[in-house]
Amino acid sequence: MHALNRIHKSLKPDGLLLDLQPQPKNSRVEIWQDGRIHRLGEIDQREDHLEIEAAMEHLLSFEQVGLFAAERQAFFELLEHHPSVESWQEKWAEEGYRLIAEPELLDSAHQLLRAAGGELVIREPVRAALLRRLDGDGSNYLT
Amino acid sequence: MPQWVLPLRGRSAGREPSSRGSVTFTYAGRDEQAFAFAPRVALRRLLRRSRRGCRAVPWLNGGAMDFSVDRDGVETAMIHDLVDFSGMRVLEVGCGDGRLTWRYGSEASEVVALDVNRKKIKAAVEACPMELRAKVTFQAMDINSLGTGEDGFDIAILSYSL
Repeated sequence: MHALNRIHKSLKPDGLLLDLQPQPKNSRVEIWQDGRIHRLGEIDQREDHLEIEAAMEHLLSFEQVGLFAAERQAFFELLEHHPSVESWQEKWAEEGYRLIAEPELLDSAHQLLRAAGGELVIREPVRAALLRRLDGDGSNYLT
Repeated sequence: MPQWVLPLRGRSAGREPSSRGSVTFTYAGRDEQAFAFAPRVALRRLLRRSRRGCRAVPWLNGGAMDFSVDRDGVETAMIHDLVDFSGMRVLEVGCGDGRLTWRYGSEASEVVALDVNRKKIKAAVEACPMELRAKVTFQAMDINSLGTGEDGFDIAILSYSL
């Protein structure tokens, strides 16, 4: 059974679903140092975009068959703060994320942090969507 | 690293920090980071916890010594803007190490938090604040393994896991 189907069953009538999902856009890399922000560029996340778009389509399909109704959504940037480039690389490896960035971007980050300290910040675009459970029977949909 | 203690009484009590920065407070020996611009929810939480004897220490942005996510509290403010968690029975899918759970758990009446990653669930159980332990249950399982006896939630949160 698809996760959304099980979630639909787990909710009370009129229950809510809050879906937090990265947007299919590249995250941006910055160095914050002494009150200044150095914008270094983007990470290549095109491979992840396909999965994200598929997930969003899936959620939309549950709305289209009357299992959920969209109520509100909000867009924001989720910030990750790392003390070093190595910390970023280790953390992402630990989480199983692919880190694809231009060597020049990583070099710039190294140099800036070595020269004056500060922190590396990743800005990830996120969508928060709030949906309301409708009374449709989801048991026959997408097993 | 400059730091100061927010006054907890008097005219300045509860005011947003005048410069951009995060507010960190310690409670029961565990550091928690709150919000850069101290939105209404954060201020209420800060004042509530200050009455229980915690110390509020604002840090300027750029002062993080360790890895952190949502130090500025934007994600936290967003979810609280969308949802009033007061008294809700919450199912969180993809809870990881509990990072998001701590952001709303105190308002909820009960939380069942799932993740297929056993290591993360173990970390979440170990890191769970004392005041949440009675009402938050972490389980290493897939959502489809959830028993039907667990149904009837007010809200399900898909935490970056669809």
